Amino acid sequence: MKKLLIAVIFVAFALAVSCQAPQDVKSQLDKQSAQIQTLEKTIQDQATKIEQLKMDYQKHMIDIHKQSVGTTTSQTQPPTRVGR
Amino acid sequence: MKKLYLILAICLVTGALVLFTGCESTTGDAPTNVVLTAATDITVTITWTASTTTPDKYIVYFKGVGDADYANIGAVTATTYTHDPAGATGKYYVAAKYGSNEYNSDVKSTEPIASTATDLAELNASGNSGYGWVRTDGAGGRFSMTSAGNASSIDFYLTNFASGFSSTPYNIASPDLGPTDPGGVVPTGSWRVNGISDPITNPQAALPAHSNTTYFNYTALSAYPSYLGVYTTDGYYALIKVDGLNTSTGTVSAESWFQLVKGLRLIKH
Repeated sequence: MKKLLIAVIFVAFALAVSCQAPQDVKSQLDKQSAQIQTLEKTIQDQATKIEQLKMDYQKHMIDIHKQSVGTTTSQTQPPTRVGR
Repeated sequence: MKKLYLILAICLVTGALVLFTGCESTTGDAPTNVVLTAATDITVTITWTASTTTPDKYIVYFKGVGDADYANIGAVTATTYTHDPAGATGKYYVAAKYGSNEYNSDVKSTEPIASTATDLAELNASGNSGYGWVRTDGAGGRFSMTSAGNASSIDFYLTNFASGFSSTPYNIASPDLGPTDPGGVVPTGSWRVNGISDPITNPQAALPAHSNTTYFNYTALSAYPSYLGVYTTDGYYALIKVDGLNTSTGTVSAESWFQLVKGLRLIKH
């Protein structure tokens, strides 16, 4: 009985020791976490830039429209001139 | 001694007479509430509230634009007088005359209210296209034609009846044409139905009398500067000077003279 208990404790100890991640693996995981965070920030920055580009594009298109309207010589006839 | 008493008595009687008759004839007060109205579209009726003490007469004075002094233009005992100023505008006052003394009323004027030149934008250009006058003080100002809330403030607007602002001629148009203007920026609303005259050659002469052969829904600007008359739907006359056409910015400069006496078309300034 006593031997069995010692064996169980030994096995548990062995499992606990074997389940600990090696030091270099932990370091790699930390690095990857940092990289992921950097990537996330980069994506956010890019999304902001895309939004800005979309707004600039829209403004540009509005300006072009205004210019074309402003420079177009319309063929519209004036209304009938009537006395009042 | 008797002679001395006699002289004293005569002096006393004379003094009393001066006090109770002579002095009374020179005491009085001014007429009040002088009001100018159009008797016709070129003549002016001056009315006032009588002095509390009845004067010998009322004298009406007038000083035309450019005149150095007031001139006596009429004497009446009534509280109204009609004046034909022969095309002039100017200032009036009424004096109540008691003996040789005169008591003057406030001064009222038919001189049109001048508003300095301001830039006015074509309907599709950047800036305000509408222009109107405040009826209480005659001040002219610019307003946006894109808001129906300004309809009660605008008497004309600048347009080329096209979608852009580069094509000419520009026109001075009655505000009620706004909603159907090809510019396409004027909402429906209670826009005034005013009349615009043909270009005027003498801006100091009386404006054309209102009729449907002298005022129109719009007038094209064919020369700069151009002077145009405006007849408003509520019966006022005004003169506008349009100058400084700039088709690259879509603007002109507008200056005005508004006749505060309703129905009077005298505009000399």
